[in-house]
Amino acid sequence: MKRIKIQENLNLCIINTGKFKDISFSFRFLSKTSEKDATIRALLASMASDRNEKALTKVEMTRLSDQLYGSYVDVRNTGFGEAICTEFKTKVLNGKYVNQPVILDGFMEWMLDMIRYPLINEETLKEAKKNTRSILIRSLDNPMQFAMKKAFEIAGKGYPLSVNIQGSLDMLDVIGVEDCKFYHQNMIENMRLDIFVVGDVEENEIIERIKGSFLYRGRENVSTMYRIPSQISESVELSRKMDQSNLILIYNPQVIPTDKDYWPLRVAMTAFGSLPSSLCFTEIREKRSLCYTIGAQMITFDGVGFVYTGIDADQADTVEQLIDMQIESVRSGELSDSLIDASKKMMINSIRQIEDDASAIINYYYQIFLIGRYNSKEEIISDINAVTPLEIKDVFAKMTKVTRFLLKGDAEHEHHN
Amino acid sequence: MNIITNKRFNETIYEQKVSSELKVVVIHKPGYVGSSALIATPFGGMHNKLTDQNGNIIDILPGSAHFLEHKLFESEEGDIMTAFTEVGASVNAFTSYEETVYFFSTSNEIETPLNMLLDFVSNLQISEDSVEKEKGIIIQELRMYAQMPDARLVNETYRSLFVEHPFSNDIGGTEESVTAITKQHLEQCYKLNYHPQRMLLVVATGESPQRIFDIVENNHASKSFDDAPVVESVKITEPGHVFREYHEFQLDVQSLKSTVTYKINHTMQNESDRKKAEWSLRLLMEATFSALNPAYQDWMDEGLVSDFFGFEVDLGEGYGLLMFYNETEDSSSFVEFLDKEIKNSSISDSTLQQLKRRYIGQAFRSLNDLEDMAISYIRSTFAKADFFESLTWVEDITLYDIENSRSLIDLGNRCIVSLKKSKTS
Repeated sequence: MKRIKIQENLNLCIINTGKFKDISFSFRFLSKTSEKDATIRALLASMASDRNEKALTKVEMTRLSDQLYGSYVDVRNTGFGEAICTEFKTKVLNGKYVNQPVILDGFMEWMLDMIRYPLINEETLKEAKKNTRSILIRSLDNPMQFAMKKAFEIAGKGYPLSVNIQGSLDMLDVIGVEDCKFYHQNMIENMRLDIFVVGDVEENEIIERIKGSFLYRGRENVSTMYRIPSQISESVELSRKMDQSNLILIYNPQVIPTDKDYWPLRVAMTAFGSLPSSLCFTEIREKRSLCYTIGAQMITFDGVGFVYTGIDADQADTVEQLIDMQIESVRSGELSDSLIDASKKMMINSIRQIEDDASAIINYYYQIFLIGRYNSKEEIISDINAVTPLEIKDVFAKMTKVTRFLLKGDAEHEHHN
Repeated sequence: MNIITNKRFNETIYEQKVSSELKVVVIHKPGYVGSSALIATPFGGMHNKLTDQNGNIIDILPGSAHFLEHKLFESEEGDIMTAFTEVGASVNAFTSYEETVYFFSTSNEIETPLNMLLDFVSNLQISEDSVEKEKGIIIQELRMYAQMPDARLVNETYRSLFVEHPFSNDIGGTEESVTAITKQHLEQCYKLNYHPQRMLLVVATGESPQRIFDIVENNHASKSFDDAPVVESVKITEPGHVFREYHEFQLDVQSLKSTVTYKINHTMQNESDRKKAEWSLRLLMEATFSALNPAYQDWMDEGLVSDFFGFEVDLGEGYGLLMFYNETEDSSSFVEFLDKEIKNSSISDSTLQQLKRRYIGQAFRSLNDLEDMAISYIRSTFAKADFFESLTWVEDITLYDIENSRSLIDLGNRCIVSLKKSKTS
């Protein structure tokens, strides 16, 4: 892996490998997040993928895409703490499989046009608003997704954690064509850009093509990682007519990836709730059959962690107490050496397996670049291996519960025969 | 050892039967750092009646294959999932209608987890208590899917479409059938379906194929297996009509959705015939109901179709369906629209060539992922089809085939399912 800084905050990373059948490209624009920005980006993502100023209809865009053996540009937004990233991602079949040097013949131009010339007008914005609204409503209909979003809103009130990266229903109506055009122009001209290429490519050719494009200019960086200050714990319950309830617990250890106790926290979280042999899975699902789904995750760039589970409403307090007990057992140093070792092994296994998936490679290195702490995977693996039981015990003392959100199912159980 | 090299896709596959009669397949992927191993049995959610060599019918309770998948991870020696994590391998399993698959992936050495996979799948160790305890977990799983709008919509659609076919049951069964499953029933299902002769092991790896065969041979040589049961799934005679023409159900949601599903009756026995007919229908529908059709933009603007709109075609042994889904409250207008456009559907030669190019690209891309490739291989094998041939079936489709496939659709033979908003919300 090589990271080439070709301009201020314009980085190119080429992973040259012949093992994939295609070549993956990812263009990632980064800026500060806000509810309005997230909504504009959601609308841009909707407008930028199926038409552009050079291919004015979906029919024409589909024709161009199919000429490239079904390449399409997927535009999506991801939050990284205080920042939001819009990614234009595409893949093109390696020309050697079809006796055609696809990459040289039009692909780069097509891809760069997709970024530079989205079709932004009243008509496309109207469609984008309709689609974005549908996506937002659909995600509210999914009980677990809804519960997580509500919990993040409560725990992150006033901070980027509360921003829904898919946009805001309230903001949709106030955004106009000019807002989108201005934002897009600013994005392609000024925002930090990281470009990733994974596949069998000529490095110099890629570098020259980027240097010869509109993207080649100095750009502005923004910060990503942050900590939410200490808060008073809040408990909220909503009800919905459904069989199962969803419980979300949010913890704010205020640990971010540049902190020395970051890897101890990650190892601890893995042992606590990310493995099928983790404490939560074993104690709550396997031993007591109280749930099917339970897990714990970090939201890395916001310095928080959370537990999610689907349970019977009348078991919510019991399950919460059991989760508290698991936290307490980690805090008091009761985590077994074998579970700590297994957690480390699984984390290292995941890191090594990234090499077999082009999208995973890109996601992984992008985060590493944003964190700015590591130069290679081996450094990270070494830090994971160095984590001690004492560090785990100490870092879990910081796991303060800040939010309990219960989406309570209040329906009689339906029976489907 | 049988070696199959496909020059076009630049892939080589090695096959060998070990002494236990287990067929082992190695998809050799030099350059990959990880390995994925999957062991599968052709016993899934649709196998609710089996027959033995004497013609006796054995009834299988809905959800048994899935229940068994949960219980196979139990061992007297300790938790199997924990044992895998201790060697840095990630283990999991899934049950579909057609098969149950147990698998792990690792970037560490493969021998230990491969032996563990072979060991736990060869040995069912369950107690009455553990079976009872598992019911709570499975019922929570069923409830989770029942309140997910899209999963529930598909489930209700299958229940409306099929009269006898087990697709009308959820793969996991019902709360009642799960509650009725016993230790003895699971042991019987296991005995009938988990003999090495019935199973298939596929390993996608950069490791030497011979080493994989040796590991499996050594493992199975140390085990004794009963004689292979002679068992077959009872052929399902599905009536030509749908079970119910209209059905609505309620959830506490904002997005109201509908499916319109045409039941396809066919007599094709051969998988390649079925899948070619499936491709023909899919291509015709793609040309009509997607951005390839200039009218599609108008349909979106007029609200006839939403961004959620789409379709599925599936022609399997003894069943067939063409399902459309959309976000709409007005299912009658949706049906009218579909009936009219299906009648008018057409595809030009240039569109056919365009689509073939797209799907060949997709076929190449499907070979990037170790697990996906292994699963496709398992499914092709269980369906008695050639894996590499299946990747290029789309290339054989002609305009004539597509025109013929149109006759499979009977516009009058369909069911409508609508997701409505709960009255109390």
